[in-house]
Amino acid sequence: MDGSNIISVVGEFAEDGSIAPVTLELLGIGRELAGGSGKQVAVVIAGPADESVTGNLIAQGADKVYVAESIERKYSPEGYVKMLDALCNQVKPGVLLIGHSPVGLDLAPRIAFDLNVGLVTDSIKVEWSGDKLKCYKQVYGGIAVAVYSFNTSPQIVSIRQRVGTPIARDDSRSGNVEKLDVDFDASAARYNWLEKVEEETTEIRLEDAEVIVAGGRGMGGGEEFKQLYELATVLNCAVGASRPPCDSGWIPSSRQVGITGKIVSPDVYIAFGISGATQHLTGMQDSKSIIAVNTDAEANIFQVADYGVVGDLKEIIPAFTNKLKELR
Amino acid sequence: MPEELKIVVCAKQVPDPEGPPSSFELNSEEKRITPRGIPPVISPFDENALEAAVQLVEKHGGTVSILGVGTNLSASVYLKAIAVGAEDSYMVDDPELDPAILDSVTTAKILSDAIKKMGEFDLILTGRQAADTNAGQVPAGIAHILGLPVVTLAQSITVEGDKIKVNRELPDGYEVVEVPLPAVVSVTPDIGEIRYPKISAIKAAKKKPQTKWSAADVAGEGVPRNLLNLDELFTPVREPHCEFIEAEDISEAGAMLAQKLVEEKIL
Ligand SMILES: Cc1cc2nc3c(=O)[nH]c(=O)nc-3n(C[C@H](O)[C@H](O)[C@H](O)COP(=O)(O)OP(=O)(O)OC[C@H]3O[C@@H](n4cnc5c(N)ncnc54)[C@H](O)[C@@H]3O)c2cc1C
Repeated sequence: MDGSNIISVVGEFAEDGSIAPVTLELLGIGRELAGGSGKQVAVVIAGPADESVTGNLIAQGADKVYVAESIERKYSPEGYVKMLDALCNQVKPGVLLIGHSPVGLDLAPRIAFDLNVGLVTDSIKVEWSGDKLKCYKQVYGGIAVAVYSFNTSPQIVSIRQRVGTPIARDDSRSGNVEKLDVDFDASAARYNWLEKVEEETTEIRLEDAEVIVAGGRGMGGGEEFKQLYELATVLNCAVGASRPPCDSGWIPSSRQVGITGKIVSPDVYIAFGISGATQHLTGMQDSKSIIAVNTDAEANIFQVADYGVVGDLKEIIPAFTNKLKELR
Repeated sequence: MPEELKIVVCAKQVPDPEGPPSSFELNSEEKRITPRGIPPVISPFDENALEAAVQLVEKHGGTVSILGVGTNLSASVYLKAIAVGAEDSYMVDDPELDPAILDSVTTAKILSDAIKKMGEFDLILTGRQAADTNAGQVPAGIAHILGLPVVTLAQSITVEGDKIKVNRELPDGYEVVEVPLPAVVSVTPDIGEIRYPKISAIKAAKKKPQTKWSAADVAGEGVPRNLLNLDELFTPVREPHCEFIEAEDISEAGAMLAQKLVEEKIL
């Protein structure tokens, strides 16, 4: 079978069994790449799937769904690598799209090394250049962008979450469902998943937040973060931070935004006392509206901000909070 | 548990990523970045791996070896790393291993070849990604080549008999994963920041062995290349468009900002 016209997405599922948002995003990217070219978008999923699941995937852009029934749906590196091995040997897709999610960032290098083919990780944009993919990736913490193409097939790329846009669900779309035979002995696996421990928090998670108020080193200390939490209560939003406040213990490190923290793209991101180092910008520059407060008019954060105030956050936060209370 | 835990830390030399963006000179013709006026350092992510290793041998006994691959590796940079708590360092230093053109596959291959030459190890630790290429592929690559299990994004590592338990970072907590030793683990900054070496340790480090190899010394089959092409390298352009809210009195500006954002239906 020649699958070079197939763009295959690796399907992921949320814990509640629904299709993971990143998979819908990748299907959207797959459809864009397919365009009107006659290329087909496939998705491969682990575990038995009923029609509601496969139907959903088709309505969201898949032309083909490959179901690897013998592989457990819950991610295991060895099982998923075997599944993708089977896909690449039997179907031979020209492109393999993987989400740069906790699962995908683990899986993508494993399968690339297994197949001895090139891989671009954490890509922020993919497009065709003739019949080859071009993958854009931030390097040096975001100081530069590198564009890569492949000398090997399949062209494997892991794509940053929220880069793709799902297509509008279309229940009239049709597609094929095929079983994928995978030979895998789970009992021989060395990678043994034991349990998940959820962070205990009553706060809104950064990834889920529509609005984030974030503080940097300019906050000065943990006391000042209390003011930020008060503002967050008024806005019913999440609190984030640059790295120094996390390192100094003013706020838990799970609140760090940036290349080594969370990559977020909320509707509104308000940065107080954050200078705008590239490693931080990489984590928030795709927010829809960016507002910055900083004593330094030259601070780099103003390069990406839509609205700004030059001044001391210690005076601005209370005034801002009080006015919002009045207006909302 | 192994008698003595033997750990290799893979530590990449990179231009100091804390340096201002202006110190990374980008040549789009040659598709390379040249650091200007900033010193080479161990990639901060790999420093996390070193810290993890030192914590483990403090607890269980054993030794830590440091391994770097690249061009023009600085003996003093690797000496500082030894001083943090390692026994020795190995540097595969070769013009052929220029980090500007070295891809993940080649890096993983050379590291694996060097590790084989160094001896037997229980644990191979790396950072979650390199601070320059940010690829995060090498840990899986070493594991593949050496036939070992790999766990990525470790927040903590516990040795239990001939296995390790790893708390692996998730966006909303962590998961616990167990693999047999020997194994490859990539760690996150949550492991803890690297400790400062004591002056006495820096002195002592000078007496510890630093081995230098060329690519040919370790890679019998030669250096593999070119699974990927780097077609372009550019600086993202930002168009400043910030609307500044100004007022006589600074708290007045805070109130005006609120007013503006509500009017514009942003908040
Ligand atoms: C490998 C690597 C990974 C990294 N990952 C991350 C990451 O994930 N996330 C991250 O954020 N950083 C990360 N960093 C660190 C990053 O390089 C910067 O050091 C960091 O983002 C700076 O944080 P900051 O802006 O809060 O502090 P600073 O750069 O010190 O800026 C503080 C700002 O506060 C302003 N200020 C001071 N006082 C006041 C006041 N009273 N009112 C208003 N403004 C005030 C100052 O003008 C200044 O602009 C990483 C670095 C490396 C090397």
